[in-house]
Amino acid sequence: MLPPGVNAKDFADALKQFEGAAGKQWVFTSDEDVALYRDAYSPFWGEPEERVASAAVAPGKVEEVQAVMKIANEYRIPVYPISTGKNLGYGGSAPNLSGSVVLDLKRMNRILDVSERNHSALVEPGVSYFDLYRYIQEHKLKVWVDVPDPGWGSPVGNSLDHGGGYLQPMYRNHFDSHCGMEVVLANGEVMRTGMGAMPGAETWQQYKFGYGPWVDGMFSQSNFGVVTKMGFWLMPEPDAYLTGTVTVPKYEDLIAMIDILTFLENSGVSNGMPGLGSPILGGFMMPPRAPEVTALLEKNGVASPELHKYAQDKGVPFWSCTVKFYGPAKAIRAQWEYAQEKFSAIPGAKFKDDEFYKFPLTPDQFDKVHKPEMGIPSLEMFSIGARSPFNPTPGNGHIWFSPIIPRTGEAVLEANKVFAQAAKDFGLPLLSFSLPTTYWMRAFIFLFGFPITHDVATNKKNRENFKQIVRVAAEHGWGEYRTAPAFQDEVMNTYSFNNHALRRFHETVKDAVDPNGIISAGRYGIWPKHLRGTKA
Amino acid sequence: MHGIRGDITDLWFHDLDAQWKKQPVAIAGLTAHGPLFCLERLAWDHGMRVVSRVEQGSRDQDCEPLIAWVIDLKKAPKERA
Repeated sequence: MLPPGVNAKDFADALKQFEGAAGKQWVFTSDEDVALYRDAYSPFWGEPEERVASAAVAPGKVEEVQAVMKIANEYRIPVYPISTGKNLGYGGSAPNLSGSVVLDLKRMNRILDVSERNHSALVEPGVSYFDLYRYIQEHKLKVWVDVPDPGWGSPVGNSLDHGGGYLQPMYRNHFDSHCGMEVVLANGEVMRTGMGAMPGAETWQQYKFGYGPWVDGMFSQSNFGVVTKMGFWLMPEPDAYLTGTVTVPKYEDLIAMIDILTFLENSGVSNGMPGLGSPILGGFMMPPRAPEVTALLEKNGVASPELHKYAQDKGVPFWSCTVKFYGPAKAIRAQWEYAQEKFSAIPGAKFKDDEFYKFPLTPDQFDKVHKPEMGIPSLEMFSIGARSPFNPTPGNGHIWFSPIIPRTGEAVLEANKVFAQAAKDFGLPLLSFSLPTTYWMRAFIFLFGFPITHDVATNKKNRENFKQIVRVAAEHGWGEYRTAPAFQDEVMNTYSFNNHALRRFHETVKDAVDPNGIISAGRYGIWPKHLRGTKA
Repeated sequence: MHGIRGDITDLWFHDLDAQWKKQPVAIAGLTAHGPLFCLERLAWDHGMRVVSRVEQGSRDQDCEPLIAWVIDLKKAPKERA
């Protein structure tokens, strides 16, 4: 395969020069090697439209990245930078534009600094969460890195893709927790942001903004440069961790429960990632749903008065919220007590103490805990997808439909109503009721996994379903926070205020900073001028 | 010899990651698809491949088909980063 618009001789010459820049052994052109960059969860798996690379080059240091960019510019070779390429469900390591050369940054795996005093780190893109965690453990540092689940990816890649984790809010929003970056621009020039722009500054990982416009956000979910270093704030190891659960009896109590939770989080009283549940509806980490509940739910949905009466008659709470706290043991016990006072405003609210740990964990505790909530990377997530009574027919993978919705009980109920109707109308594989996740403090995200198979007809149907639900969500003002390359154009189209002013601004920037359009063409719906309108 | 129950985290973090960083060595296993899926991708980063993969006709505790597999350097060491 050739990159689009590049002839065989130029491609061969460019590859030869890539070998000169990065080393012959770090340029991959065989079908067997290039196939490793396929997206294992591609919704186009095995179809002509599947996005695949033409080759890959793996530079080991920033000077080699600079050299590769200059060569790519000279020959107009589209390149697609990846860190570790393991964000399965959101595209993996496959490019948006077939024929791109993957710029694999995995060899750039140096941990440049971890400061226990400043609670920060500076790493290259090829450093994985496991690498950083190992470094912290080996050096016995009292800091935690906020990890996603699964944790085999890269802090740089995950944060640039707006990934999230499980610790305190300022850490579990991974892009928010970054502080300073180094970027190789399309012309090969190196730029540092924030205080990194000032020679001799010792505050690159302390103060994000530096001076003038803060441009870091322009390198996330974009294609304006190649990030080669990134600073992160780490969480000081807390003294203790406590979780407690509140249950409330009535369907309509969801609204007050979420309002109180939001107050507690925005006040800094509750600082772990809360978990919403429904004891009556059951589900993940909940008791199994009673057959009578399933019947009522299927008949009239979650708003069914019969379902509400059933819950009250059985004395089963309708909703639950697990509230989590990191901090000094005395303080978090008092915070939990205060949280209970606030939730007691809901008649019938009940409370249960759950986990309490002092750090470091004992070996028994270590085995028992949900690792990411302790800053420990894990791959356990992949075993949950295995066949089980709850998942009798696991697919080959999934893609995430993940809209942002307002952080209110009303919005949760409304979104469920809308998605349940869409599921009926289009035959979508959505659950009859879902609760949002709470990665971010100020908004909710729904996460729905759409199955990926290796069957062309099934994938085609699922792709159409996915587009339908993106459209339905957008009609209600609920936009995706992140999506796989196959749908990035569709999602960008939904951010259409004032005749797509935002996308047009992205395109203006793209044309200015990457006039030949060589970096990640099409990523997040930003196409270079010469391809604009032909792909989107 | 390392037993797992679906989750390869402990095997990866305490054994394979450190070993493969020093020098890629062949491993063989009998697992369901999930653990192999993870190990295969981690092995790629060290220039290794699944060189043998045979379904056994038996199943694990979750009724997943068991696969006997070998991960090894496929050819002269040309690592993929």
